[in-house]
Amino acid sequence: MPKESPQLIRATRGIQRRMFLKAMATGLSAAAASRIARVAVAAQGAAAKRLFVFYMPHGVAPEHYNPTVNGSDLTSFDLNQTNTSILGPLQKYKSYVNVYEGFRYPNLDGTHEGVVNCLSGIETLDDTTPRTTMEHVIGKALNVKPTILGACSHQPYGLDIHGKLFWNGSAVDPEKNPAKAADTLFGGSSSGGSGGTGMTADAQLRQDLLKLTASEIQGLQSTLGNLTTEKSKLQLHLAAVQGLMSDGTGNVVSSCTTKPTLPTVEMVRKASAGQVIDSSGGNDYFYQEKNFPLLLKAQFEVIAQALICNAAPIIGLMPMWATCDFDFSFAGAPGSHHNGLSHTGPQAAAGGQYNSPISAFNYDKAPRMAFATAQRWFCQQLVDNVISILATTDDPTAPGTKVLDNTLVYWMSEIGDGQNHTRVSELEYPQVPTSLPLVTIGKCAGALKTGQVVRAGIGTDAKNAAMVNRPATDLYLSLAKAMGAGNVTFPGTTGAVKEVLT
Amino acid sequence: MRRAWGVVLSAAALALALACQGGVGGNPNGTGGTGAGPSGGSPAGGTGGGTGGAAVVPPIALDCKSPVKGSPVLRLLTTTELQNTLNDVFPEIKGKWSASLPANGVSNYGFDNDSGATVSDQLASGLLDMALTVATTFVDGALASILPCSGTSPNRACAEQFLNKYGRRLFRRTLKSAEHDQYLTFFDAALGKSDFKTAIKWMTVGLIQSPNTLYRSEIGTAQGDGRKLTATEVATELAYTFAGTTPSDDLISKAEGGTMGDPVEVAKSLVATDGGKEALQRFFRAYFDYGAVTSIEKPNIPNFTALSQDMVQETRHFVDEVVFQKGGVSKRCSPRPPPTRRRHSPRTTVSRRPRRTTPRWRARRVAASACSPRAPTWRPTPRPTLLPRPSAGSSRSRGSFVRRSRRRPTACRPSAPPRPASRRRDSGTRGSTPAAAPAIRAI
Repeated sequence: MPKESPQLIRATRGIQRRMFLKAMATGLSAAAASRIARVAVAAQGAAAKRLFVFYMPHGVAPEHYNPTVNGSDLTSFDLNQTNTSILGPLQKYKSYVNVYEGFRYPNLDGTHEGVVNCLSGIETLDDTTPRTTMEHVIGKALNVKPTILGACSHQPYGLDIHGKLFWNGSAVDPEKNPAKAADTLFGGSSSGGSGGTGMTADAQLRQDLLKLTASEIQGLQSTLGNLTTEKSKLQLHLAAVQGLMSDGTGNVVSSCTTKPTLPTVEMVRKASAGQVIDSSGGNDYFYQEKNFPLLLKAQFEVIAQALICNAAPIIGLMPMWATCDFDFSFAGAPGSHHNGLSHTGPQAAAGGQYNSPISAFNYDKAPRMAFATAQRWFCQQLVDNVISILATTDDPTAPGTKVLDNTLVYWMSEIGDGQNHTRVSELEYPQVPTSLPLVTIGKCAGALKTGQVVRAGIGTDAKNAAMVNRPATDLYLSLAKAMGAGNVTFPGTTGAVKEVLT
Repeated sequence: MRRAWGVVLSAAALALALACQGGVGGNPNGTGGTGAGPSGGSPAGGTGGGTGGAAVVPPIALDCKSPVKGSPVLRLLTTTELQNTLNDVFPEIKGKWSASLPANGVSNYGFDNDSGATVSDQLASGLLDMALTVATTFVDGALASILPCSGTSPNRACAEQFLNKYGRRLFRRTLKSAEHDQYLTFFDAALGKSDFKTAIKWMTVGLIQSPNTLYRSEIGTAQGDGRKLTATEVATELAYTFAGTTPSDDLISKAEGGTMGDPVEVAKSLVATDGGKEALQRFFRAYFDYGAVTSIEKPNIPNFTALSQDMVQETRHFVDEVVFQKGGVSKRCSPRPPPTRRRHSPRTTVSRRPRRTTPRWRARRVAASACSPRAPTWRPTPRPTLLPRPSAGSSRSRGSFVRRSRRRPTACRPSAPPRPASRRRDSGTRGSTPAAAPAIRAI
């Protein structure tokens, strides 16, 4: 058995000690802190895989989105061949990119309220049935608690159906404040313990108290007789409290030795300080349209650094809610995003004849350029603030590789064509192949074959599409396997997409 | 004036009814949208024209003469109700703490107090954080004033004194002996591991995140074929419905002593408070969905930020005027003699008032819909009104006073049946000629 060098042993102990102290400082028990310290060291050996799910609201204009495949070789494609290519900013990184065509979501009746089931794969379109979305499914399998962030991710007055993208049993409200997210991930101001008795006493009392609360819930349950609905309600509450008792499971400590510099986050922190929210919620800094671009940039800033430091191995980001109508003048696309831009339909080119249906060959791409410009803006932000940084930053967990080599960015929307609200991949009027915009970027530590268009069957119409498309959950299963969560299940799967797995 | 109270109580009762029935009418998330499907090609094509494709929400049929009994439920406090409660119970630290709980879920009817709300993992974590923040603020800055014995005799008796007073306020009833003993046992154990201040802090956290605090009990006790709320449950219902906060110590005492009196009179006194007025304003804000206008930008409208805030204030004044100052809707809708001159139709009646605090964009509509003999109740209509949709720049959705195409319930009137839903398109002018395109629909 080879003997370890003294330097390595010292380094290992140093990391363990640092992680242990960091974990203790977060209020975890000694056992949990010790476990995290061991995990942190184990991560030094193999590249740590990260997953980032990025949502773009309300689909695309397919004629400005579809990659151009050269011949029949699906590995030879371009992303910037239309006048306003939504995926154009990714052209430089296309060796990391997979574009998925021919997939479908469940329940074709949905339009943008399909935001509630697109990431879970369950049939129902209501917003009350419990479900778990793919990032949480993977997180549970890997014992990692996903970090869910949002920039104006729901209406100011509360979380309605169009803001319910991420689910962990119930809908998750994304963290709106990037400064708070940064403090949680990288450490912020001290949490203000009560001095002499130290964190250990507080940690113990926290556990004792959670047991007390759990017993209160159970006691209340026992008084409800045959009121099963209310008993079930309390059962969920009990499970949530018991989750808090589970000894810090799911907490991850940043492997970066220093807190990253986050200038945009600090701008947001300063601008939002001291606000008093009125009862309508309308003046909440974090849901005001004028702050949206800055908030999104700040969230991206947190995410990029969290991925680099592996402080949050699984992240979800929801910029805007599905039907948000922010004016996209700031992106060079004047008009309200949902009603004004995404609901602009295709039109025939000049000279088209009445009753001669416009087609992919004779229609005018200009009317939907504004919408494409808006969606391209999302892509540009993703590339500028995350992809380009991950592609050029050495991975501290795997020397010799870049962070993007070990990261899986999953970019998706709840529908395909923004105007027609497609939930399948079909040949849409006017004869343009319309797939759900599903893209991965990153090699996931070599677990994904990248640089290809992955094409399942595209239907001639919606009914046909339901037969020839692959369910999106097949893709989720594949991504889960790539992340190392091979034993998970999703509704309606027919199997992993083998073309993408190494 | 009495009629006005009737309206106020009816409005709040409506709020309760709406919330109660969140899950009764089946899945409120219908299939998307209205509008025509493909209709052939056209050189002109169409530039879309969706109005949202929002869920079709089935109307709630209300029968004020024979109201349906609500189901026994544990209703989770909303974030606002919880914050109001903590501010009332611990006024010494009001404004000195803040919490960021996850947003309340909003039902498709627009209200955030749905009886189906549950405590998720995320909310449980947020509640614990908030309780810890409140308790830490309290013991670090106000313990001596709230609990003077903490300075002279920090012991079990002092903790019991705290428990009896603040446990009762938070639980909205006197603690049962088992609960009392459970908390004191916890305190004893905590004191053994820390100090008095820390033990009180964690006991406070426990009281705040207790299910007895977080849920309004609408369970009652079995009586015949139904159930009857206890006196403290009634007091709790009145306080949260008509004042948006926890019952006062005095109201709890009266309820427990059997001297609370007529609930209608209690409701009147509660709604007359500042908290009561705000609770009513919150009801109408959710019902009309006007608050979001202050979160958006209108690049083409100068000073829209200030203007939008004025719009909100104007609407609040309008509600205040109708409900509190002018005798309520029912008075405004009293039978009136037919107009003697045709020059002024009923639609312009309100616009001739000498002093206008009513929003211009609502006055005529309300006057027409509420006070016309054919429409004797106030009925927000999904047809175009004069207010641009707050979150849309599209002219085709101008006038959507109500959120998206959400069908608001109509008080005590049968609503029109919903439009038939198309397959899934919510726009439906694909390739159609302008002439053939369906009429642009305001929401």
